[in-house]
Amino acid sequence: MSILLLTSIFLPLAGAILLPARRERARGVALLTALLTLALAVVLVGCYPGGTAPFAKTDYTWLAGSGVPLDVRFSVALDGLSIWLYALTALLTVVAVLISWEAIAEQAPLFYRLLLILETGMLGVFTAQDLFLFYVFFEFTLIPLFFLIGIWGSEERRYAAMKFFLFTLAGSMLTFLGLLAIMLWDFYHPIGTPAPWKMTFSIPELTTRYAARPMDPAMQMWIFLALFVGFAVKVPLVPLHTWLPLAHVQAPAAGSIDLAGVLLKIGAYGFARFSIPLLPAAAAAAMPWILILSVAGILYGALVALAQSDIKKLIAYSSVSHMGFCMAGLFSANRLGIEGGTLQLLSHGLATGGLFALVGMIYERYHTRKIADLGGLARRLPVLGFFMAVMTLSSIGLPGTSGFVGEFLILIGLFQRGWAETLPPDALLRTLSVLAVLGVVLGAWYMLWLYQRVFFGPVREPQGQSHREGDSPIFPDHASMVPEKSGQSPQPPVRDLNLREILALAPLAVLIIWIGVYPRFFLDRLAPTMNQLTAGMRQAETRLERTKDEIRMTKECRISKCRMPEDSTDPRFPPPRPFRHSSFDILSSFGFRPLSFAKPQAAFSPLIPHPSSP
Amino acid sequence: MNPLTQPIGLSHYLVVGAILFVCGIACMAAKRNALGVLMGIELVLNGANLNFIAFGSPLLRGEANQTIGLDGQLIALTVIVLAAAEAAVALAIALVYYRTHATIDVDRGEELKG
Amino acid sequence: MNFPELIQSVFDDTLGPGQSLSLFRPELTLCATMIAILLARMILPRWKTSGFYLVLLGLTLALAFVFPWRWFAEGALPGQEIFTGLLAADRFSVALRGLLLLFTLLFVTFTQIAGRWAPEDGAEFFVLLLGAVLGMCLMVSANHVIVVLLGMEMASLPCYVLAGWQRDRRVSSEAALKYAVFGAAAAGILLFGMSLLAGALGSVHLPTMGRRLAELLQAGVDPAQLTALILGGLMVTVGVAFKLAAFPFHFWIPDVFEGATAEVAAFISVASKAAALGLLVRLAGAFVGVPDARQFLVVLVSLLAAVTCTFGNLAAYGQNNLKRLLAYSTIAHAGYMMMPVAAMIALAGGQGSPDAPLSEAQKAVAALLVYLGIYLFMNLAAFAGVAFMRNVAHSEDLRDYAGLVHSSPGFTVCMAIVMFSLLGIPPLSGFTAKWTIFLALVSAKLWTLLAIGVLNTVLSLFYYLRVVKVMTLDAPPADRAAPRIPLTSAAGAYFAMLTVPVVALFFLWGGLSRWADAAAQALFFTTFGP
Repeated sequence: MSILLLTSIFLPLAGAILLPARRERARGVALLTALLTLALAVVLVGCYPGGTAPFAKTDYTWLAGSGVPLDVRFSVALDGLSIWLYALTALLTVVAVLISWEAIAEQAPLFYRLLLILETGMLGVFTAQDLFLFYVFFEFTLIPLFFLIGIWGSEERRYAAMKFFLFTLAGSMLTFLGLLAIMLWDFYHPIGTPAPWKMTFSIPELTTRYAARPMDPAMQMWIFLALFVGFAVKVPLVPLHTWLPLAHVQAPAAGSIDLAGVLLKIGAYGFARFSIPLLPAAAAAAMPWILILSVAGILYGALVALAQSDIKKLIAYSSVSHMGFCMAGLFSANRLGIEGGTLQLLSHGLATGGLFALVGMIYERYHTRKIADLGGLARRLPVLGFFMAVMTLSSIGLPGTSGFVGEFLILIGLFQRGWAETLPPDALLRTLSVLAVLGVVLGAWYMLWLYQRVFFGPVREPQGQSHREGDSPIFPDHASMVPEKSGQSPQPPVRDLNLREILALAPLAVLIIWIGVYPRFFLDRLAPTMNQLTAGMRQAETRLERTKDEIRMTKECRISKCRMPEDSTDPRFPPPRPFRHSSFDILSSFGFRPLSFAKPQAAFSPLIPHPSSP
Repeated sequence: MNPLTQPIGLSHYLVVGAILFVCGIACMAAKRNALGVLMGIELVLNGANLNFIAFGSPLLRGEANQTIGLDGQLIALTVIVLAAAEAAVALAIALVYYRTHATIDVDRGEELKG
Repeated sequence: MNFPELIQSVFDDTLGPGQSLSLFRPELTLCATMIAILLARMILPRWKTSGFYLVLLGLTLALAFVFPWRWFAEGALPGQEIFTGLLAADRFSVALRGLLLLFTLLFVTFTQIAGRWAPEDGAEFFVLLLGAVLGMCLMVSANHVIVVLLGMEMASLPCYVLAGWQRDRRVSSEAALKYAVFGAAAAGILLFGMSLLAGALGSVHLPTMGRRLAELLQAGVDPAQLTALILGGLMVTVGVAFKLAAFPFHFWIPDVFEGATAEVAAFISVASKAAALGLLVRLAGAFVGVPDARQFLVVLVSLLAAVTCTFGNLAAYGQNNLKRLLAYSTIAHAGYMMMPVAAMIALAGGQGSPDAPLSEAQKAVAALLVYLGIYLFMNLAAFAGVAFMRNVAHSEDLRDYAGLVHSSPGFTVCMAIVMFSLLGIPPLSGFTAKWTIFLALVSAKLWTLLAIGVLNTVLSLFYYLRVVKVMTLDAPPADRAAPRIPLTSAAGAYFAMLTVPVVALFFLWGGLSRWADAAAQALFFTTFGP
């Protein structure tokens, strides 16, 4: 297995290097490479046994200093968090190659080279098990994307590429400091006496060590902040999001797909991989703030999306909103929320990746992305309309699609936290949960409105020519640049999706439905890892709540001059009711029964055993 | 203790060296003529030379292990040679500068802004 | 000791078991090469390129004599003083001389490919070049005030001339004059500072000066002497800072780089910097045994490093002449390279645990060597790119690089790699370089300096990226033919060859790191004993 994983990471790079110089061959080889990589990824997903042990691990010493006990390793592996993002990357690259088949005419070999190099970078980020290696891949993804946006983007591509690069690299420098500090604290603590072990960069090893020997909270907070800047820029969380709409709108379709589908996930992945497991106390303490930012992102993204006149920009802002959901889920400190957040990463990658691909296809046909220029396309392009409908519905979270599962789990997680698991009613949490629901409503509004404006109603196509049904063939936009009288042969009519495009979109749609109706397959595989990664934060968070509780109880006791209640004997504070907690159960039964909103419980429950974890 | 009434000792030499140094620096800072600046540099170098020789003289310093001995004079000789080389190079460059600018005023070189 | 005994002892030291002369063979080879070039021009006036081939031969021989690899066997060359204490022969000097000679070898090839010297000028150019390298070799093994002075002057004087090599250009002569005047002034100030230090400490042998300082501070020092020491120390700092182009003595670099040819700029930017850093390590290394001096030096060097780095990066914004931009980038990199020196000084007090093969301070110097080894290729490549473009496009203006990717894609990719490497992002060797010095700062617990170093990378982000952006994203100027540098031409091939180590040293960094570790061993033998 490990050789498969290693091959799949470096296969795209090899393909990029060996890509032939002619366009037709180049795209063929690029597609072949991407497909092979995808096949390897599918095999790996198929063989993934679940559980928390790293899967398909490769481990070599890269640099072991002779004088310094430095131990940088080339170490890649998969686990429940990374395997889905890894597979998503492999899938979306195939989609990206297929999308660019006709759209990229200029310097196509270079384009595919960069795309494949980018794939190696992204696969590397998700599989790296070594801090150093992770950072290397993390930075490395920037360079190809910079060129993808900068060379093949639309009008403002240069500005967009520069802004994108500056934002992310500036943020990631602080992340670099944070990662360095994580590694060093382990080695130099207690300060002054170097640890008897090597200066390790291994992520699993550091995770175990920090679980056994946590950092002091103040230090955690500083490191958390440093990591936060880089990852939050990537996600993006709200005040740091300004690069995203610009980059999205200017990027070529393939670039947008990779950007939305995978690169945004790197930020969330960083939080889940480093901030939460390594710095649990800080993560728990920062939780309300991150939730505020996430919900702000949800609402802000949704409201701004409502006001957009450009389809791509609208979807870009919807990305801000959806990534807000992911972050809210990850930081809900609730098992359901965390699982939902992780699943939402996958779901958002599929749906938004598909949406960007569709916008690219529309643009290819009409050379416009203005909502006002388009209308009634469902009649003109029924297949495109169908796929658009699937992606849109998933994006707004219709039951039966992946978006529903993700968002629903996240919201349940938030509600559980707000009502069931915090004894002193936390007004902030409750408000945030309700506001997040509002985000879903707004999401349905802007997406359906978009769909209605573009795909229903009278057929409206660019150049202000309103075509009635059964009208003569439609000319693409650049016909307007050609004088009518020049007597050029009429351009071919706008055609519906061809087989290549359908093949690009079909896997996304299938996966969206699959996750929608049978999420257990995915949740079972990611839950154990996520539980393990977030155990520290949830524990810290429980402790936080308990101290709040204790303070409150002490106050009450002082007032009523009674004895401090024991944890479980006091009748006023019954032991937590053992409610079933499996995400699947809830989904399948839509059961709100176990949640018991009505009766707040003393739910500083120590970790409730999860059915799928041993 | 008035230095002017003392027998000539180490500090007198050092004072002269320091005066030469300050004069040289002032000359470098004030002169706009390249030759003037080069003269200032010579003054500085000679101030340092004087120091070295004074520090190397066993007569001026009581304890034997405190002097730098012959090294002082050796350095002074070397510096004289170095100063000559430096002057030669600097003058040659000044000549080239004069050919292109028709002046040796260093402030007239305005094409490069530091 | 009577006269015959003295002669005998000098003779023994030079040729006898002390083996001073045999350790000095690289420098002797350089001298012989210079003479051979001049003679060849007299004897064979028809053979125009004799200088180039003689230089190649001489440098290869010298490199073979330095033989960096021979000394790095365990226990070889523990460090000794040669020529009665004038020079220090240890692995550090071997490594730095090796780097300098390797650089010069690459550089000479580069000038031959890019340069347009009139053939009758070639010999002088190479003689001056070798003279400067000889001086630099002396600087990095200096153990005595007289060698410090001699080395610095020998390294500087040819550079003044080289800066003014294009005699007919106004800017060139202006650059040379400014360089010569400022350089001579800095040398004078350094000399005066040295005289004060030497007098106050009663010695001109650097390690002895360090020991005397320790004794003096222990016994109590009278205020006049202390003033002399501090003044002297500051004046020496001015001189060294000038060679290093540290703020506020950096002002000559942009002017000289803009006025001189890109080739000479590359030489000053790499070789002169490396030699100055070597000298800084030598000078600082002599005094690190004294705790008070160490504290003073740490603050001084850290401050210089931080300010230089930040200033260089800020000033590089808005530069449109690529050579000027690279000049400021050189200043910033000088700041980076002073950081491990600060770490070395800070760490030199605790000599590490006895079982560790390297003391922490030596590791810091090893970090410096790693940085230098990578910087050599990066910066030479950057200037080589500028020179090749100048030959084709007759311009060093950034605007004329617009859309270069369309006409010379291979060249642009290499240039982009070099720029990203100078910026220091993985997976390029510039990242390795920064990474090693950051680790050195960490072990020295210089947290502020570390933070400044990392934030400076952010500052430098924009202007390097701008070069890449102009080359790849901007539209090529429509009014004239796009410059073409195919990778199959000599220039393109040379450029591509230089970018190979820029990438490869990231992946094969272990070898470089081991080499640097070995080189830094026994560095402080004069201060702390072997």
